[in-house]
Amino acid sequence: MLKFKGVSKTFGSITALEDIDLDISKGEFVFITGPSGSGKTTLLRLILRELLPDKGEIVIAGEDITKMPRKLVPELRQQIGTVFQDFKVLDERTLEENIEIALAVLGISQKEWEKRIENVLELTGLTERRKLFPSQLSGGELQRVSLARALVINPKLILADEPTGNLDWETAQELMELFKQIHKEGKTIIMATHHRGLVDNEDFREIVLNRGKVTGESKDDEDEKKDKHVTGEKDEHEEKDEKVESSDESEKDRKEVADLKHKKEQTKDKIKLKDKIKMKFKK
Amino acid sequence: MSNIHIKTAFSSIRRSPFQAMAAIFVLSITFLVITIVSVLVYSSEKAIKYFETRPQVIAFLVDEISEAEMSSLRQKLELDNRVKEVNFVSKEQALEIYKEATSDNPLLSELVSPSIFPASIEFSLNDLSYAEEVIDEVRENSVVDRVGFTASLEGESGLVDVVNRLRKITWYIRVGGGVFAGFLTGTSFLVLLVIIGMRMTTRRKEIEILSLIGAKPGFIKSPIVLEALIYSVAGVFGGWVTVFVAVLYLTPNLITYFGDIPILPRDTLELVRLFGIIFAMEIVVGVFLSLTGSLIAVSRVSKRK
Repeated sequence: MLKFKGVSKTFGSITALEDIDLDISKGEFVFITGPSGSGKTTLLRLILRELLPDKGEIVIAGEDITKMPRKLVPELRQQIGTVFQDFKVLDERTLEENIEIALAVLGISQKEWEKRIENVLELTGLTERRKLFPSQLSGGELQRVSLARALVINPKLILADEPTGNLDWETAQELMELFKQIHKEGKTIIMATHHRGLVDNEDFREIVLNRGKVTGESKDDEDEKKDKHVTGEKDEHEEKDEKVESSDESEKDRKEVADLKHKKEQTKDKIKLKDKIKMKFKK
Repeated sequence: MSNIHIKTAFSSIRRSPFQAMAAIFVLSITFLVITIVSVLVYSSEKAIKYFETRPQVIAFLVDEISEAEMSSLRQKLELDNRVKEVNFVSKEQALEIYKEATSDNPLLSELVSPSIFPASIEFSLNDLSYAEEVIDEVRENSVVDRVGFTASLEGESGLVDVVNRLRKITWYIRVGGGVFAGFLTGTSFLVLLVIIGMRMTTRRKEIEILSLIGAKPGFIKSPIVLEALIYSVAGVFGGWVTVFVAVLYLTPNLITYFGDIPILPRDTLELVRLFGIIFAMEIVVGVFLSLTGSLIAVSRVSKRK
């Protein structure tokens, strides 16, 4: 689906990305992590053809977008749903109009708008707020508007640049649940984040960037399980569960595991709550 | 999809009503002046045409003229391309005209007989520039006693003077009005550029977002161009309707004042047709102004980005 081949990008004397090689398959959920200034956003901006690399190739669906003529860039962007850290919603338009504009950009017939908008509003839980303006919404709601706008065009690839950067932990988790739900529908999601807790909570592939280089990469849960089956290794969580049972472990480890468990419990509660809400809506 | 652009354009106008009003007022003044100049050019043209095509030349015939000679002269004039509306006035008809002219004093008409009035041939010219040569040619004819212009125009010099004066006025209206209208059009163009430029600057964030979600340049420009078109159409309508209403109001007085001179169409349908043509022309100018103005403003602001 998406390939980076020896991609480098500099801004003056600053190297934002250096010789990046990546291969992201269709339907994958990938976290791009790393500290601020590590090149996460630059990577996403390159995918969106907001920037051009100094060297290397970026191949999306078999086409090298670095060689794509400028006039075709809008068509590329129309196939990518983007969720921005700063939401990038249109302040003068209502929530519903913000979503409509994405459909208008695509040239989708107005007859289809209502159905599509209903769907994404329901998915993001914004149905009741559809007539409100951005200034009347909370940060979490604005981020969901951004997500709804990205989803309404039914993209195969979703880019999320620090979508939880401006949100508290609970709202971030709620949003993460939404992303997971969308991922289950077969969408490829690339999420840049430095929200460690969020990444640790999930079993998706993680690409770690530092100073413009890929310094680490973890495979997603399924691949990892396959690998462990072959090698007989234990995963981090399994090891930590064992640690709980073991009375020989240090207090520090116990606290870390307890935190992790607490977070897992919270997530489960949220999922249950969400399911309940959905059931209510269905009724 | 165009609905969303119209909605955006109108909401943009609503958000900055004073900028919109400034643009519409300037354009209204411009098109008001253009409409006035157009009407004045039309009226002066009509006045010139009126004077040029009136029966202007009278060839007084000698008393001993035979019927054949008179017919020959008449035929010769009728075949001349420079001449139109040839009319023969007999001695008796001349007396009738005289009686009519002196009807307030019957004594004057009682003292005269048809014999003292010469028969004449009256004719008008397609263009006054032929006057001199046609008159000279007619004068050379042996059956013609003398040649002159219609008395109402105070003789030869009077007519030429009137027409020349009218021509000069028309020229002043055309050139002066054209320069003034051009100056105002230029001002309107600049005002549109400035206002659309300001709009682009205030909408920069929106433009950036639209571009990121895949909007093509045409999609981004559409509401801006539409907004400029709305200003132009409103300006054209404002200026045009003001003059139209004023002309409708003043027409009865103008017709009474100018008498036979058809400076404006007397038929309402003709008047509406005249104003319809002016409106159509102004719309073309307005659309041209708004399209070029907005596109230049958009490209300038985009380059600055």
